[in-house]
Amino acid sequence: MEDIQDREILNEFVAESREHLADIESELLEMEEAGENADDALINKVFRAIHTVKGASGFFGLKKISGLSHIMENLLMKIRDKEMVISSEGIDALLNGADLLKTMIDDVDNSEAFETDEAIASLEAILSGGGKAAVPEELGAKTGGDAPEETSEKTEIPKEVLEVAGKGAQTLYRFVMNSESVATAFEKEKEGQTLKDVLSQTGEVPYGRPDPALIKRGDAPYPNKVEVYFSTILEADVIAMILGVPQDGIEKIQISEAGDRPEEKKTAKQEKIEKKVSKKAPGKSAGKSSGKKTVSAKTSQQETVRVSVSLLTRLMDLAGELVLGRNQLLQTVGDKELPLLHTLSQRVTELQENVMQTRMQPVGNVFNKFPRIVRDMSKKVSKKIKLEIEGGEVELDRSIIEVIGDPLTHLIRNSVDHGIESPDERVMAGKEEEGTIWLRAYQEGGQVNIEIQDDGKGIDPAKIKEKALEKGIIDEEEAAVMSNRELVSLIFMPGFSTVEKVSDISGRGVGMDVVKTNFEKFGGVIETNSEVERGTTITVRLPLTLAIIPSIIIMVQGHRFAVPQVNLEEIVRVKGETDKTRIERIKGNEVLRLRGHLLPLVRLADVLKIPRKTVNPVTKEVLKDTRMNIADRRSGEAPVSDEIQEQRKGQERRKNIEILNILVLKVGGSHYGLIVDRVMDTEEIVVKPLSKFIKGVGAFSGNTIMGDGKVALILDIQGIARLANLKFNDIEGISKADEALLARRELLEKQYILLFTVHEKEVFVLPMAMVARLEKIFVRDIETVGNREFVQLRGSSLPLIRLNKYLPITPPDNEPDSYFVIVPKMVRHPMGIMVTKVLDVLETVVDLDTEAVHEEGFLGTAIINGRTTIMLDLYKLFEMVDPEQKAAVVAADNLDKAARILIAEDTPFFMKLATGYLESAGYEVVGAEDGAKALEVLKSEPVDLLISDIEMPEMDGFELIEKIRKDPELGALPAMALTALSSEHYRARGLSLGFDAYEVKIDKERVLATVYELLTKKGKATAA
Amino acid sequence: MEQYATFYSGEALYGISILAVREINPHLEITEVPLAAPYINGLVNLRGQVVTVIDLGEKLGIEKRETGRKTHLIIIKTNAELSDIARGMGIKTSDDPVGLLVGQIGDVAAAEASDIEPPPANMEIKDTRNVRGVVKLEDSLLTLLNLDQILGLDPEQGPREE
Repeated sequence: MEDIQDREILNEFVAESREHLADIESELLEMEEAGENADDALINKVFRAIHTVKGASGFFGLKKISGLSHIMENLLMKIRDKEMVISSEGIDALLNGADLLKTMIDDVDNSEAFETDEAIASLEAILSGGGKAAVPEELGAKTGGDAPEETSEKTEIPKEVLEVAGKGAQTLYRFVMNSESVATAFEKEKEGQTLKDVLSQTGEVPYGRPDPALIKRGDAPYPNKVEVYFSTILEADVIAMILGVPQDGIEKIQISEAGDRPEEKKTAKQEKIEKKVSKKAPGKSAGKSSGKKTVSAKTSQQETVRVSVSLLTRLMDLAGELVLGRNQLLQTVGDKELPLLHTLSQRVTELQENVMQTRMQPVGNVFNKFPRIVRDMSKKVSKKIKLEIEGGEVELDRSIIEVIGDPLTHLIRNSVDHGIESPDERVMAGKEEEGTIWLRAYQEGGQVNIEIQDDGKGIDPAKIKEKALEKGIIDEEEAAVMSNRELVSLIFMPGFSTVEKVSDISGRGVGMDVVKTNFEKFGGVIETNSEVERGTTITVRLPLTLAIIPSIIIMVQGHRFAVPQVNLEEIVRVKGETDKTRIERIKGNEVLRLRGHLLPLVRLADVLKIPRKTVNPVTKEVLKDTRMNIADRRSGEAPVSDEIQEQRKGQERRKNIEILNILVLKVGGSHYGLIVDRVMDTEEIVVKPLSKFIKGVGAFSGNTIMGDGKVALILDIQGIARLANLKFNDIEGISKADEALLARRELLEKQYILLFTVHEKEVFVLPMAMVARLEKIFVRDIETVGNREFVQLRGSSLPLIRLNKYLPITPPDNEPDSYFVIVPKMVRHPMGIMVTKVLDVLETVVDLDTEAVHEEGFLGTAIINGRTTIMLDLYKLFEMVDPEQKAAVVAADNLDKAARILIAEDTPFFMKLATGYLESAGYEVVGAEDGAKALEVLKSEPVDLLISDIEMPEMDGFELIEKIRKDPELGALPAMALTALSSEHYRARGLSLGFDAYEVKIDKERVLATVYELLTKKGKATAA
Repeated sequence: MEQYATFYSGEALYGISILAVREINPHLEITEVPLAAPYINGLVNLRGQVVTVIDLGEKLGIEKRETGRKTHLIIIKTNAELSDIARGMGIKTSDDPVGLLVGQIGDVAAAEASDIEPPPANMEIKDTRNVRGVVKLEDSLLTLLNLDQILGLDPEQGPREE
């Protein structure tokens, strides 16, 4: 067999060739895209990579490899020399060739057995199809001249040369051109080009004598001795071919000031693959930005060494152990301030950070393969798709880099296959023919996010719902409460889509559950965001590294656990006593009301079934007590003394006063609160894998050794949620309804209310929003005209209303000396409501019960400050007082036929109020509690006008109007927003989305006027 | 002639091949693992390595020993740490570092393969797969344990009906 040294060199060849070929794919694609404008440096780089492979394989006698690379080299040379235009077919052939080269090199021992004829034939076909006959031989023949003697001369290197010497991956050469080789160089150039121009195409000319810039094409005879310093990435043999200079006349110049550059210049890519000692990552894959050249030039100046991965892993482990040891030492030493120890500690941290860095690799290493995949796939499915890559320089631990390739490929393929529409469909949808997929990486906190975004058709939640129901993944009940986002996330459910293609539902889902699990395996979290017609964004959050993670240490019943900070959003402390109301029970789950959201709570001790320890105060004996076995104890053997029972009750009571520490944790798009006993320090922990005995538990993701030398378990946040049987869908469903309720409450809260009585037996309430002012009047000032009463106020006479005259209420026991008069807002003719006592003006939650009273003039009842109060219906009241008020209103009578109005409104109070005045204006009114129901009504019944609230559960007013305007049947329906959200921002949004008018709830007059206006407009429109 | 490290769990004397033993430690501070199988006593830090502690008594379905002062931790070599000789003898342990929590440590006993008899029917350990056999020593009966089985992931505990 071969000797070991040869084997080593061969291995070296394989490793290097792989590196050379790794980038070729993306570079060829770049060339294809740039077409004729392809950067010379780029072409040269590809050329050189293939050239190197060819050379080395020839050395080893690998004929198949060298044969294939030879023909590829020829084709590339023609492209470089502009003898051939880069064609898509040419790139195809080169890509195939590169693929085959890679396969052969991966299996180098059997490379001779590979079939290369076909690849060579297709390359040859392209070669012979375009361009002239093989130029290289021609050039090669043109050797000669008087160069050799020149090179032996010891020349002083000019200063200009030193400045550019060996820039980046370039090598500096010195050679002498005779008139013949100058002519060769000019051969394919235009008239008037200088020798410097020609040379500059492939390198830099810092110095020449006579100055090459003065030697012009056509200015024959050319000087017979041109000394040229030439800095290029080309090899001497290639220079020889291009310029017709004898190869042995080309002198490679080493400049000591520039440092010891290795013989074999490295490409930027090579640098990247090797472990970097330096922290800065080369950003090759960052895209086609113009900054790219400088980046690669800079990075190639970094010195690198090859280190085996196993050695790095060992280093990594040792650094981890060192950190542990340091922590233990610090703990032992305690609080003593030892400057030396502090310095040591600092160094250990730095050391660890740097060792960590050695494992980091740019995510571009993975991204690089996608342009090819997208290109090939989109050709296959006849779509036009461009891939935009951003953030390829973002770094991740190599262990993560290694495993994200497959799941990412899956996601990209899905975007190509199901996300982006065919060019025809896109044009129909008013989009550009060419779809775009963005692949982005960026750092956020201690994490790296990878986004796959497409501008395709998006995922239709309705179709997902249908499918999920059909597959039995969710039931009708669940489906009813699921938000669109939740529906879309169903694509990650196992069994959502396995065998059949789901492209018909514009969806994803082929094995998406597998993708999800793949990411989750190493702590990745995946989220989907999709808008129908707009596209889909899938975000994958990845940990930077798996080895050392910042975490927070918590305690429960004497057990210590670490919680990765990545999962931690915040820590909330709830005082049992004062904030008790913030914790509620919904459907058997404890929830915390946190800034208007409901956060499901999990008690860690319960999930982990850690028994509560209670200490008997008398014996100091530790009693194990779990709530689970209280029943057992009651039934049985171990009688517990009353004393202890009492004690326990006392503790339970005290529990309420205790402060609850709640970690708000994030699982995917959902959150939950984990109740723990104590929150300790944050600590950087070294994650150690779980033994098989503990993995199955499902509550832990790893373990670590703490500063005190004890082992602590790392909580698996997702596992805990699973164990706690947290059904986020339930909670979120509730939470959504609850949020709507809260929002409603808030709306009402913002309206101050006025509490007053006529007789102390009954308390009435009016929203302050409806009250213009309050006046105090004396009975002696009241004037009577007929059966009406008036009072003179500020020069005008105000009609007065005694409520008991119109409403079935208790009159005052005896006439007081004075009354308060409430003057309402927004009525055509002002009137004053006489009340005996104004109790309060306060800001409170009015939860109106419309069922309790049905008398005219009452809207309903509400409990305020513990008393039942009656909400007045002012509009009704005024109609009762003054039937002319009703007539004064622009009523439906003026319209040709009675119009039918749909009100979408979730607040019973407003619904009743609006229905009331619209009906009395002569309209027929239909009600719907939310947008979704309104849409149902619209689709099944004839409606002339829609009045919609904005804030509604299920489907809000904005979404409703969007849907209506998109619907071909309903598109022209007049619609008015009627809302308490009076901000200009909302108003503008409402109008832009398609509302014809936007009115504020209380203003009856305006509402009625607008309704009339909209209906007449519509009448005219239909008449015309 | 094979050598066995012997130890007590409860009243009985047990033995495992000395080739499978990495070291014997006095009781170390154990971190309990909630929700783990009852025989998982917890985790200990052995010079930077996390070792899973298996309560032998519990695992064998004999009474669980109190973890008092007299307990010892027998650290078992992982499969990777086993010597070629041990492997050659068919000894298998676990891929994870494991410690067996036992009572008193006994002497090293030697026995020929021919001395090993099948376990008697009235043995305390009901699951005979855990036992390789018994050896009659001068003054006591040594039960040789089947480490491969004991360190396997068998969710079912105690006696098993055939």
